[in-house]
Amino acid sequence: MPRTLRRRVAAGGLASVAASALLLTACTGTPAENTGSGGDGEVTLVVGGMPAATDEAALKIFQDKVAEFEAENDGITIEGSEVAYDPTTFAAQVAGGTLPTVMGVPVTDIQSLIGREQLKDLSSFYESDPVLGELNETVTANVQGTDGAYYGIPISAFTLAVLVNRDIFEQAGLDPDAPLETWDDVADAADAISEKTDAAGLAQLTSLNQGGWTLTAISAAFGGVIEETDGDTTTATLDNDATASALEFLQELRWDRNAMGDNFLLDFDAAGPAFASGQYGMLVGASEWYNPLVRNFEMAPESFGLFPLPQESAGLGSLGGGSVAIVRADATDAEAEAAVKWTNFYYLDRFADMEFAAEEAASQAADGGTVPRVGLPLVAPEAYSEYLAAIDESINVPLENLETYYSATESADFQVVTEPPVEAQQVYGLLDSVLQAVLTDENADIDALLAEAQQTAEGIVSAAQG
Amino acid sequence: MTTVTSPPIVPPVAAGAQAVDAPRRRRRGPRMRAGAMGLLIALPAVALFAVFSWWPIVRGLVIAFQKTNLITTDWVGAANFTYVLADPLLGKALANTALYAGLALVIGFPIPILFAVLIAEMRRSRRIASFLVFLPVVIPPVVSILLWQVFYDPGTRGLFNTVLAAVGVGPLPWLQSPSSAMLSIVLVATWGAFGSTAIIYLATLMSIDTQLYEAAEIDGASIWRRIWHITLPQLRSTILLLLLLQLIGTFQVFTEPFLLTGGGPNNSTVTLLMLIYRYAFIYGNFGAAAALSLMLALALSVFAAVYLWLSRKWSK
Repeated sequence: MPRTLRRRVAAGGLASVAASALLLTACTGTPAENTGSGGDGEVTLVVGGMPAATDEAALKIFQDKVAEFEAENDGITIEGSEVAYDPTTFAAQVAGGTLPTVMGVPVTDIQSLIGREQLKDLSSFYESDPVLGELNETVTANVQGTDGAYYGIPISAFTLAVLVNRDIFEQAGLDPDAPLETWDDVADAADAISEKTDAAGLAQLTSLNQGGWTLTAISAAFGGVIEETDGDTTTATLDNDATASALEFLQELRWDRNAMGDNFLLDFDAAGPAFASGQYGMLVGASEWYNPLVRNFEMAPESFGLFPLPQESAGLGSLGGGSVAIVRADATDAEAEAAVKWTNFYYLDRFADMEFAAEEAASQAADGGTVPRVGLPLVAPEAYSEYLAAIDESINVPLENLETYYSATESADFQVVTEPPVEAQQVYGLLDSVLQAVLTDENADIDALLAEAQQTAEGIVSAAQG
Repeated sequence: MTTVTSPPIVPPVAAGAQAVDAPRRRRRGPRMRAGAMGLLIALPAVALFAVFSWWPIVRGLVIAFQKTNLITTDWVGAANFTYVLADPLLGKALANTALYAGLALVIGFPIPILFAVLIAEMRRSRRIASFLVFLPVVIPPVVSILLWQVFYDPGTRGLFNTVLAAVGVGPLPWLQSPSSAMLSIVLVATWGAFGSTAIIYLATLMSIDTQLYEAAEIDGASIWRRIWHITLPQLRSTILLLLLLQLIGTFQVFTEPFLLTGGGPNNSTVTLLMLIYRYAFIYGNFGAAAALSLMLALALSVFAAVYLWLSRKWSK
């Protein structure tokens, strides 16, 4: 080989060795950023769910709060992280040490995370902290594991309800302020809507486990649960009469009255925009969906109406949900304490300190947020009315349109049903297929489908309990 | 993951091409140094492959025999395999995947050959035709699937149903019915992938000696006889190779059913890879996902080995 060429080849070889070395050091990765305490009680808290840089308004609110918190709490430094909960990557992030120390997680996933031992036990704080003691029991029940310990702090709550489009209701000659008392009323309303307007009567979610989730809520309203817990053991009870009745209700609405439209592969990302743009008159979903419907899908605030889930005579209540702030299982005690302080400060102090509440509401309204956040109040009705009075000037949600829902939640008979404790997501997935079958096949045999789903669910539930 | 009829880049098999053998001479010194330098240059690529391709495969093999939540890990032997084999959805997923592969074979396999033959016959518009045929391949799968969702929208809003209504055919359920969902998915996948395979066939066709055609024309062969007796046999090795790649690829279909139907309606479009995805990312059961992946990989390897052995026998 000629000398110049040899030199060039040698240079190339050295360059690639250098490149490989760089590559390999990059691959070994940085040690976990959450090294926590840096001696002398100094705690660095990595907080997830920080708004992205593109959402300037929300980011400013976040950063102001961080500054305020750090000023009041010497020794705690807050590091914001944009990481938000994503079920597909959660486990990998926990293993890789890139999960924020504290972040929000939906209630539907809490039980499986508790089961997989990925969350820190926060019961000791519930005993000592006054703010946590004030929370509604219906809301804290969701963060308890089967052992009774508390694994998170509820930061928002909702129940499943019937979301209605008030404009379409009026077009169909229905009163958007008169709550629907029974499921027959819902069927009649759907009928009226599909006959007198261009919209379909009722949208039903059927995919991504959201179908099973809403069906569970409707079953509870008919008087049955899909999992029963007796002491330490939970058994699947999918083939109960209430679920069968709920499916029959939907089957009749779909095939006899033809009031459910034509698309039956709906999850929230498909149904939400359709509902917001007036293609459906009603939707069984979360009461807090006001926020994404108005902010992201541009529904007019006055068009949004909310009815509590109608209860049959044996009805058990409305399925509850929400978000929970959780702390990583491998966080230190100092980090956990800091996390609880931060969560209280960011989410719950507004119910304790009225001045703070008013300021916060004003800045949120100025930045285009929905004030107050629609959903189930985290605290008792009296405390919540106090809060509403304090933020009165900044309210931009037409609360009078939502009276039927809120007054129902304050009544003594309002029951909140908790999610199935064991492998809820998998069981919801089974119900998804049952729902899809009922809605796309006119001759679907509900009893046979439920029996099949029950068999599979039994296997799943018993395997999960070991 | 390969989609229907979309294999990795395969050099076209030119009929009658001869490799030229360089005369051998023994020279030790410079050649050894050149070899070492070559290894060094290849080092970054090898490192990338090792870290991002081979190591995950090895890890996957190991996880198939473990139960893990990525924090704590236990060895469970063959428990994951028995779990997967006992899953009632496995049979359905296998049947669905086989149906998809079969439909893709019937619909998606002849179409590129047809287009390649047609384009080869063109004189002036060959470039434009090739470009148009390849265009769907260039569109990212997610974008094209969102597009097809609008096409397939049930009711009178969807494009296809609107066109069909003009001809008097009632609104078809497309993705909403268990009986037509898989076929709809195959159409989307075929549309998105036939272009690249057609181009490969076209390249092979262009290298066929035109004298063969002239001789056949002189002998009075019609165009169909020419295609059957000259074109297809010349394409045979390409066809066999692409057929193998297609069968392996279609058994790994994921993107289209995942985005179009999510496995519904009523699990009629759940495929094996969707099941693996569910195990891993929805149920958090990485062991079961790895076990099913391992079984699928073994099955496809055996299939590929048998196929190659058979086609070698047949070629002789």
